[in-house]
Amino acid sequence: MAYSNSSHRPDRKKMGGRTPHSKVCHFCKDGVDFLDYKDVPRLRRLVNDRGKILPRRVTGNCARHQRMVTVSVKRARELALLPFVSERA
Amino acid sequence: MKAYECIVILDPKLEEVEVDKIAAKIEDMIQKGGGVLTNTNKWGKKKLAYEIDKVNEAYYVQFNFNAPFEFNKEFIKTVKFINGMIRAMVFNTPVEKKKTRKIATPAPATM
Repeated sequence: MAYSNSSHRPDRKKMGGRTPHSKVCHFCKDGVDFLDYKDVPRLRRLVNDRGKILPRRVTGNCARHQRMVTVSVKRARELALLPFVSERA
Repeated sequence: MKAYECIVILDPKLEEVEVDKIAAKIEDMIQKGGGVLTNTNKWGKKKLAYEIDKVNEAYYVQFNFNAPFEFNKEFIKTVKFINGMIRAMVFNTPVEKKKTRKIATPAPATM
């Protein structure tokens, strides 16, 4: 789990903020061993509308799967399956 | 021998027959170089995510093959210079591994 409430952090609830809910890596959940760069619909969900790769703190991916994401997004970009940059959609 | 995947992007101005010819040529090249072709997949004409050489759509053809490393190095060099080629890429494909997760043995209890 990416974030857990550890004791040295201030209690967010007392401070009136939102409590971060723990995220689970979706790839781990599905038992994905290999992320295909040809799987464009899946990769689309891992980049923002500008075509930038979403950070781990947003998607909740584990380190291993985030590495697979970066490699396959970059491969897809080279093959013109995904844009390097896209104008604001 | 290693498993590779080659994807070529071809000029949209070519005719279907010419695309088939180039695909056959590449298949021939793989087999002559000592590789074993496992799969050929023609995706057809696809829209590109961005413009390449003032072209907005192109033919995609995918080849899967097993080949020695030395062949692969030469292969990509020659493929890139085929007429009508816009882009050619070769990636290695992961071999399916058997899951051998180490099970942590509990440490012997100390005092």
